[in-house]
Amino acid sequence: MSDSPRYLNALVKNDEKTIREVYEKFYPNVKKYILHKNGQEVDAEDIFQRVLLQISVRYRKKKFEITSDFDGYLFIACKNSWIREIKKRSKRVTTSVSEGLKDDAIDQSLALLEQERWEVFKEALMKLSENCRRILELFFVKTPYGKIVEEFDYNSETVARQRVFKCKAKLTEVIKNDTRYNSLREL
Amino acid sequence: MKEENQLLIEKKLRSELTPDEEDVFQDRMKSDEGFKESYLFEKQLIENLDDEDWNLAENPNQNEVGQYAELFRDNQTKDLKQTLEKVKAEFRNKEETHLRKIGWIWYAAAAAIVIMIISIFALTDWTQTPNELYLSYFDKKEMPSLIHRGNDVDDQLVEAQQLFESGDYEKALSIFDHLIDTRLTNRATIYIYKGISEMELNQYVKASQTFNKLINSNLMDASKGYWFKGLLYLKMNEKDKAIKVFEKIQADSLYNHQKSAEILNSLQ
Repeated sequence: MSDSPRYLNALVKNDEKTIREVYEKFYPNVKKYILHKNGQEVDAEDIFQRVLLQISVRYRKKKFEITSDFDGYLFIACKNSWIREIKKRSKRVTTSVSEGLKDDAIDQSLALLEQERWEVFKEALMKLSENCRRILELFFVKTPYGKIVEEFDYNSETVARQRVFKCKAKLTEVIKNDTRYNSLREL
Repeated sequence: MKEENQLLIEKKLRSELTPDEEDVFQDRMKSDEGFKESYLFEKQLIENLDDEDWNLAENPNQNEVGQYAELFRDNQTKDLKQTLEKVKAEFRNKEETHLRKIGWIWYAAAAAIVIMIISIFALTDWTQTPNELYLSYFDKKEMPSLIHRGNDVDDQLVEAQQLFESGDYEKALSIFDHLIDTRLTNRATIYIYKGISEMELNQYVKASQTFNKLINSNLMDASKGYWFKGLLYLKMNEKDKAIKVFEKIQADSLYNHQKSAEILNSLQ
């Protein structure tokens, strides 16, 4: 059985003992990842804390389910949050100061909803056949069609394009049929 | 959507538009709502599903943003934040104390056996190399068997498995090459045996192609190919490529995702 409900409830109830356990068990991995991805220790602490706050607030509003272990979920959410932070920092260079000083509660809410939207997309991808998933994964990381042809032994780039087109149409259908996406599409 | 529009959007998202095409793109965005919607959705797809990218929200006025912001500002969240700050400080102190303690022990030991310890620590890399990890995590005994109880005895499978187990990969491989072209059952396992035989014979490109074929197949165990591809990269000492594969296994909870997490810990 997943250990997630115990940790989710501990966050909502502000249970210090279990929160200490969360830090001791799960923070070292997150820290290792962020340091490995050119972050500082202070970044790792900040990301870890923000993600725990986001998970707690999200769980208070609607009791969402984590199907994997809490450890895995928390790690992925922190990883996403760090990629988000890097993207934000690179954009901040080109945006105005007032944009940079946006209300933190708003920014936390946006981060939380972006994570929710990411989960909808990721879950939809997992519902496709392994073959479709694999070809789209290559497509989404901007792999040239020539390389896709090689990997899949297709006859030509046209065949590869048609396959990508069909798989993407299927993925789009799954996402748009997910009721959660309706409220997140305008985000 | 028209193929021409699809192509235009794709090129835009790959930053491959010529200046003329960029003009056409901008015109379409202004005049064609359907085109604009398709572009924005495709952008969401790519930014969400590229593991190194992120889809930032552009609409802080969306309904739920305000509702969540209220929760982030309320006392319950403030109390949790205080606890998190407290636990974080405790954790940091504990880590620093631990490091200081280790530092002291190290100093004492270094003082006692100065030259020997310094030379050993200076010259030795104590982290496991990818190749060492390969040796720790690849165990032939844990391989799925080619021969199943209750099946009719299949001489070729028996012979191939025996050759494989005795380390005669070259002869085993010639049988696997034949089996992969002729057998309709147990194909995922045959791919795995074939790929590992190639890997053991240092035929890395062929091994990679074999695992890719497994991954790209529609076989039920196709995703096991990622695990063996990860092991292949470890054997090749291709650390970055191995990390990518094990990260995927962990993110998608594929076969051996817990072992992958352990490997990632050792690699990063």
